[in-house]
Amino acid sequence: MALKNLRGRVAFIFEELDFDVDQIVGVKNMKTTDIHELTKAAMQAYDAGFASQVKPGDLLVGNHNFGYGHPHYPPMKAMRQLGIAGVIAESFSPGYWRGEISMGFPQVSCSGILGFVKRWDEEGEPVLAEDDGSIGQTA
Amino acid sequence: MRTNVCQIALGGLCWMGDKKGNAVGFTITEKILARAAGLASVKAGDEIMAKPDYVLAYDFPGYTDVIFKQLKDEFGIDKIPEPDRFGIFIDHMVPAASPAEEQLHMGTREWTKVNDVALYERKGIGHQVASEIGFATPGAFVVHFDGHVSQLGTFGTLAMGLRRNVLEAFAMERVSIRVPQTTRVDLVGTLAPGVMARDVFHHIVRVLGPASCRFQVLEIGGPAVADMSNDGLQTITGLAMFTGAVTAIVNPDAKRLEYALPRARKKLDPVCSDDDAHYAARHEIDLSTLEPVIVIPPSPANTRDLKDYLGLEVQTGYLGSCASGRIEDLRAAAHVLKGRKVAPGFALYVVPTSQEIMAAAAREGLIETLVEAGAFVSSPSCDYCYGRIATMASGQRAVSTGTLNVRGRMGSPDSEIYLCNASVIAATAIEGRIADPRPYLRS
Repeated sequence: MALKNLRGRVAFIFEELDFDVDQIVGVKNMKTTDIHELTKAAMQAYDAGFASQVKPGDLLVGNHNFGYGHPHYPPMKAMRQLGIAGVIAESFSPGYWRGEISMGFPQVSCSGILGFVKRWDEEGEPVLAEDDGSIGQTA
Repeated sequence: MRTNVCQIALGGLCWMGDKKGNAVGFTITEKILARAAGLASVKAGDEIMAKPDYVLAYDFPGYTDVIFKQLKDEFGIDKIPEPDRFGIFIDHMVPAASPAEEQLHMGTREWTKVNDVALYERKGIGHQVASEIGFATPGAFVVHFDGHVSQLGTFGTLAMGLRRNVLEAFAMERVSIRVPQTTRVDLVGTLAPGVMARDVFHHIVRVLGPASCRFQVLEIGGPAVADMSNDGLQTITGLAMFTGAVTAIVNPDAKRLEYALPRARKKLDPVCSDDDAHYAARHEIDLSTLEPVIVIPPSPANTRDLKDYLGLEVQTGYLGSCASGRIEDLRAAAHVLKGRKVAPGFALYVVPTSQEIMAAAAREGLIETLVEAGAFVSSPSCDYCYGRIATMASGQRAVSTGTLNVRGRMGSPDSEIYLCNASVIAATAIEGRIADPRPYLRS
């Protein structure tokens, strides 16, 4: 089955290069297994009101090498629980990318995305993703 | 006539065959994956289904326990075919410190027993033990969920960490994979005293960048490789993920084959890159220009000059992990610590990477030297590296040869980890502050 088109509102833009996704819930919450506790912890360091503003189908946007470091699964579990439908980044770190893809969570690399969108954008001119090697990469 | 790196290194032992008519040669990665896919040849970018020669994993909650359950419940697999291809390690939570941890290990023992799969428990950190027991078969394709398995690349083995996607390798005969491009780094020159393989790797991250090899293989070559130890190359290849690479590999020379071939679990022809193989990028690093480095928190991308951090107060030192903690590292630390004492109050944890290494260190007298200096020497375990034991409190700072320095890796999110080579750990332990090991090497 082909992946359906991703269309959604930009819920947040992580502008940091080599972004360590563990920071989304904070390292001290990494062993939390209760999904509601995780969603409460999510994004506190970035936007305390994030959970109340996000809606199902929203997307996250990231910079180059998104997911670098030693990524764990809880941050994106929390994001999915909040309704986030996928991540679009300039490029991904392979370990993070492979891990989230294996969770069935769409991760799309799109060169130039940071220049195309602002936070809370809903509509825009469609842009074509440039294949930097990570698209369709499964191992 | 075409020659290749391997033929030069091995004097023809590793014959590549005639490839007349091919405009461009193949990388070692392309050759290994072609064989694993059952194809005459593959090129970077090809989508293939490859059969791993070995499938490895250590037991860890959320990975093996889930995989074992999924195999049964979702795939209806009660017993996996070809159990000889599999190897399971118990190296985390060793020894267990809670009933839940022991329960996990019990589940692993049971699964390996039912499935006739080899289990290696308390033998050391699995990625190192894997080499010792022959999973580092030159020419083999290996998968694991953990990316540090890349260190098998030292012996010309293509070993990749697939994270949760390793389920595919447990449930199916083949894994879907796109043949990666390769970035080649040629090492030339000789390391100065006090500078180690650890510095070489972090220097590579510094000059090439933390995204330089994204989705590629980092191939280590050049004339300096012949003089490097297996230990040093395992350090470099084991950390490849921090360049963005999916793995690292070395064209196996005589020294690598001497170690790996007698242990190999399977008879395969070692392969090497052709000298006209296509590389996405090629870099040369002159080892003689390197100085000791330090990687500051909270990212493995933060390589700095050691000299700029001398004197910083530190409470803990960790010498161990799958990246470091081998005999070369233990010798380096013992050299600095011989006849000296660890600073009062400083906690120096020395954890040899495997039982085999620990025994060798004992025979050489290294354990005695380290213990007499005041080190706390532990049997092999992964647990120091991720803060399960020797856990740091808020405000504490460590020097470490562990794999990683992200926030909270060795305890409180408000503790700090500085990564460096084994001799820097030893010198820092003596002074209680980040120290240059070189003065201790001269005296």
